[in-house]
Amino acid sequence: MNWKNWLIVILLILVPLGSIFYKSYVLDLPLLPQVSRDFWELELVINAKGNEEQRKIGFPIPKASKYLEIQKIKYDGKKSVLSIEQKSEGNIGWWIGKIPKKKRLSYQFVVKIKERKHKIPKTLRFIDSSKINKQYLDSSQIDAKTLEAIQKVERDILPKSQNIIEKLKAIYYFIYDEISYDPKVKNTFDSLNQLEGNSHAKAQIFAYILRHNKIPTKVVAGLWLNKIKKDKKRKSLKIYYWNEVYIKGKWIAFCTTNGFFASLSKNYVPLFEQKDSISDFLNDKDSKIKIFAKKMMSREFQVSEYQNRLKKQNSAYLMFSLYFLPLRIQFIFKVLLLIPIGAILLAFCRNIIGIKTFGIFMPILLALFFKETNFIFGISFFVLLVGLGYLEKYLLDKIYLLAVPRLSILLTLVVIFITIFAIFNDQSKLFSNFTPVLFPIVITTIFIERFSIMMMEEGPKNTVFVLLGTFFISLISYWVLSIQILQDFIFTYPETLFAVIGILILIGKYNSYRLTELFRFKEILKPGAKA
Amino acid sequence: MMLKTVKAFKKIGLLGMNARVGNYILPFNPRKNYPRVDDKVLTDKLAKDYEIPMPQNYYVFERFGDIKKLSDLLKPHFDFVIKPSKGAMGNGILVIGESQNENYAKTSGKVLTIKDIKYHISSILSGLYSLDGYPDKAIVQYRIKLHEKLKEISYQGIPDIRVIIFRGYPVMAMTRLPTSLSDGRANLHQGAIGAGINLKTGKTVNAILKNSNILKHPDTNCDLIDFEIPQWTEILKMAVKCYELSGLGYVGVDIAIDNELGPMVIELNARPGLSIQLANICGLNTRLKQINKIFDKNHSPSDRIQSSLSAF
Repeated sequence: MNWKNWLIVILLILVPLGSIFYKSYVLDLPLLPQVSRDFWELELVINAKGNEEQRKIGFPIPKASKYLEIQKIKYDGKKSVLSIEQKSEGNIGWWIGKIPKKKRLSYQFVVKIKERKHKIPKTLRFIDSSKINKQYLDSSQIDAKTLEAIQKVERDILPKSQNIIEKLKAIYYFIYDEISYDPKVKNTFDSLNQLEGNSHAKAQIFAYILRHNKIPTKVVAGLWLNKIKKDKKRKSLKIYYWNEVYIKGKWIAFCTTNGFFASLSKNYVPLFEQKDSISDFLNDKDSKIKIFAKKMMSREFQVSEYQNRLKKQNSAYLMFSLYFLPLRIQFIFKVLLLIPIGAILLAFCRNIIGIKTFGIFMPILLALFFKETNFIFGISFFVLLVGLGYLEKYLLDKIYLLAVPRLSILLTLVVIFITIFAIFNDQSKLFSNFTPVLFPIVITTIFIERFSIMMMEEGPKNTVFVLLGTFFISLISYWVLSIQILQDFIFTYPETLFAVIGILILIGKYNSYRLTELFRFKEILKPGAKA
Repeated sequence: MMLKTVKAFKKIGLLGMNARVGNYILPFNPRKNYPRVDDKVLTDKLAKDYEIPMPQNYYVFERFGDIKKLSDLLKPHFDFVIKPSKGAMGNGILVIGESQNENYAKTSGKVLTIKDIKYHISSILSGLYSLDGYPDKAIVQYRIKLHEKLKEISYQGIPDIRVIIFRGYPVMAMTRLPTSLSDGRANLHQGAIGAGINLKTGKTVNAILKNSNILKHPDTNCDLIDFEIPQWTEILKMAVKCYELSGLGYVGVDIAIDNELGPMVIELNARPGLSIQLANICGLNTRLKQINKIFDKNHSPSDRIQSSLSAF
């Protein structure tokens, strides 16, 4: 390559780099819209029992706070309306109307949770509880034998100090360390006795002792989402309990079950307070409420966040961003922009490695098809199609048709096959994401034709070799195109495509040996007949 | 190990596919002249102007309607070849060795009917075998008869001689010998033997089968080394003239020797293959560079042969 070519290549690579640098350093945008793992999709489902009649079924609805962002609320309870009542123990949603039996009432929403970390003073002698509800201090509901047990604990653990924080710590550590978690032990007294308890018992004991010591305390009920590790998997959840303590005018979170002192991880969704059970809300003793949670890889929210940041920058340069296109078109561009990346791989495999393929762009089209379905399905579907096509072609050859009508019959047969497959698939639900539109039907037909001719002229061995080459490149392209970060990156910085051209020039100017040629020509290094 | 191979290849001047395209085909073969070699009907016309012998075309089919006349057209010919005008790598070529009462025997022995042949022609016309996939012409052509002297080194088909001509100078040559593996075809891909030819003597120097060296023809058991190609000087003369005919700087000329009519050009190739290097145990790159040095636009065709022969 001469210096002019190098200059072009360097420019083509530097310009996008400069643009990316400008966007992220000068305009101070995040390099990519981050993938957030803090989103959860929750669903509260009530399975109504009893007879169809005019009735009212209630359930707790989470309240948005600075630690809890609630989005995308969807609810469905045909023949009934949802009304929301705000109460001290939390928001209550009421399904009101003629609710038939076996009716499924669903309330769905997405939450984003922030971690809680409170700063509390080291010493505290008084708590001003004048402004708060007296129930948070009320220890009168404790029965006699539990009170006795509590007093015994207090004698054992409470420090002499008047410092409330010291007391709080002693009580917290007693419950967290000494009472081990056992989901079966629900009763407060049993729990104190056996030193084992579930989250409700532990939260209850914590509240009792604190209130008994004139420290205002809440029992908070909600969801603990920690056990769901796998994305996309829906899980049924039970209500979980923790506490909030009123310190210096703020409600500070504690969890004696999982060990959070004046803090809370981002797995807690508060639903209601002070009530012992979620069924207390239902107002319908036979109905059951179930809660489902699913972790979300929510790209959409992050993208809208990114979009907002783009808008705030108010730079004319940024108004060209693909993020401002309608979502449907964005989706198309996400696929479209990947094609040149596939082309780099293809050029590399063909011109530097030396792999042979059917048709030039067939591997990329196949890779895109695999991406729409999945690799195993895609490749078996394709092989099946080519196999059937080969058979059809073999039969058609016997009736001497002119080539264009013959190819058109092949094309029609491919379409018929895909149609039958789609109908069958819809009924059997075998492959949920099968979209025939994206399948390169015409290309497949030509592929079948080329394949058949090559089978006849060069024999099965050479043909299979080329077929494997085609599959190999499409597998690699599929694999690379599935890298989400790559897709996001090119979509965020479409200027990268100039660098793609630069790289393609480099590959195009590569005029040394292909990898496969090292094997093809190795015999030339042997002495041959002359020796 | 790989780097060592690359170094060794560079040392003997082996030409790879990328360098062939980037350094020779793209700079020396103007695209506009490709039809002169890719379209055999046009090549045939040009060959007449340049007085280069080619097998006689009995008839050229351009329209489907003409196919009706096929059996009448074939009547006067006992043997013939049907090939696409724009075919590649020997695809779509049908060689009929004998015919009788609308039955046609391929050289391999398989008997075809007139219907089979009509179907083949219509496939050619619709572009099934053509380089670019567009509709094509079908040529019914004189079948070259195997030369007496070549009988012992070929199996069933006709051997041909490939000469690479660069800027009008002969660079390297080989003969391609059909085998049972290649089904009588002279195509290295399909298992024909390639035997390199010493440009000065016209004798074979080495032979390969499927990229590996070989000493004897597997079907006839004839020695493949030091075999003398008949009418070699004539072949070289014919080959270098194809530079003017084709207007291509880097061209492969395929020549077959007819028992009665002598050597004739069968086809020209704008992207000749690289296996010729294996057949000659010699890299093309070194020779091509040498030709760039000795190139003189005032050289006559015979001057060019002379300078090549003294250079290599």
